[in-house]
Amino acid sequence: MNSVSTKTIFQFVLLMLLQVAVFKQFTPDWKYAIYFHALIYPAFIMTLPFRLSKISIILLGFLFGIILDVFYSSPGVHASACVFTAFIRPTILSITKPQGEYDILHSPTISHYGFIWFATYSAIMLFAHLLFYFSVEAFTFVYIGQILLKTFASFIVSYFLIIIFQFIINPK
Amino acid sequence: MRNLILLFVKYGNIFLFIFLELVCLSLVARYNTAQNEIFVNSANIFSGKLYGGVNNLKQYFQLSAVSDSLASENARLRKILYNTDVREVAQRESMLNQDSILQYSYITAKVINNSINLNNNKITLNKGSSSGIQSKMGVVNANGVVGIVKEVNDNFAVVLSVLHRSVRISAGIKNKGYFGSMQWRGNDPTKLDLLDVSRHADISKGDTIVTSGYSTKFPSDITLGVIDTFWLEQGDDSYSIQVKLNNDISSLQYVYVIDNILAETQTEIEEATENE
Repeated sequence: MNSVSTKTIFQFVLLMLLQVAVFKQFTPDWKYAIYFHALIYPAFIMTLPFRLSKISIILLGFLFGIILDVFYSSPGVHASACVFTAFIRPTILSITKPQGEYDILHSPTISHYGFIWFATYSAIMLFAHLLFYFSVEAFTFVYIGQILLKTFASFIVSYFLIIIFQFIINPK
Repeated sequence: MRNLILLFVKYGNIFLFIFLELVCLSLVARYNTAQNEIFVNSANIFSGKLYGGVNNLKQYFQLSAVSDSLASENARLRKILYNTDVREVAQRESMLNQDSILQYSYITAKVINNSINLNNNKITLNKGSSSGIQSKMGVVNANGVVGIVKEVNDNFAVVLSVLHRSVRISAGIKNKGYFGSMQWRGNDPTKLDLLDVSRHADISKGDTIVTSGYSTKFPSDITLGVIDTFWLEQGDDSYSIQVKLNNDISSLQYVYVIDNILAETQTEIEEATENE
């Protein structure tokens, strides 16, 4: 096992713990709190190394999501969102391709490709993830208004958290 | 095979994605109460429509059976109608004082109670005097004679079926002119006895027995059955004839009650001569 794999496992555990032990518990006593879900864990799928194949990224996403679902006691909801995010990751990466190519030895992080790039990339990824997540949670598009409201509200919180987390975990 | 593997290498992530999403969504639908309800409700809407469709289809197939029986009855009635035309003319000529040329009218009724295994079997109909049914009217269906109305109240009528031992129906052998009286002796609900047919009559097995039209209850030529067996006992001057009943009394659904408009007139004049 090399350092990339160790780092991946470390992030897996760390983000899982942060999500379950910290942000899941954080429920402010405010009537609009139900719209603000702090989901930091999509950062795990975003920052997986480039050298992983598409298939292993999808499988890792599924594994992460299904374990998270155990804690949330919501079988399949997080997992399906993670699988979706992992599936679209290569496409989003190619859309947001910076000047020059991605270095296959790196991970798509703030330290390698800069704040502006990461802000764009993570915004698209997070928004897609949240929209999918809340759609599956509602399980019907009848409540599309609610779904969009939750997506935008949670996006603000989660986006902020993910950027902060990136600065902490990948200092320049 | 090689192409298949190549296909998997190229699009494996898409297959995996679809497969895992299906797994996730089935988990969601199965284990989450809120989503489960939505899923089940959608399924119910779907299955409800499906069941509705299946029922419609079923009814449609039953309709074909119903329409078959209706068509055959129509054909039969049409035949009678054409034959009746002649008779009606004859009747009109012989009854110059009658305004009406229509002697018989029919009241449809549904059988709501029936039996065949008693010594004296009765049938209950869902219509009574409010629909015009009166005592002593004859009851028939497409297959022949059913019985004679005994008691009537506003909404129901009790019919003594042909399988009632006190019922006697004036019957004749079709196209031969011999006549007698039909009666049930109990036991077999498919067999009736034809009494009082003269020993000089030329009858054979398989002859059709029909109503004679002598009584006020039934028009002539309504099927009763066919001769099953007959014999002549020593010293008797009439045949003993067993008739196989054409009608299946056990499976009656709808029947027609016959309203003979001239019944009263006929009885009146017959009774007038009785005392002579």
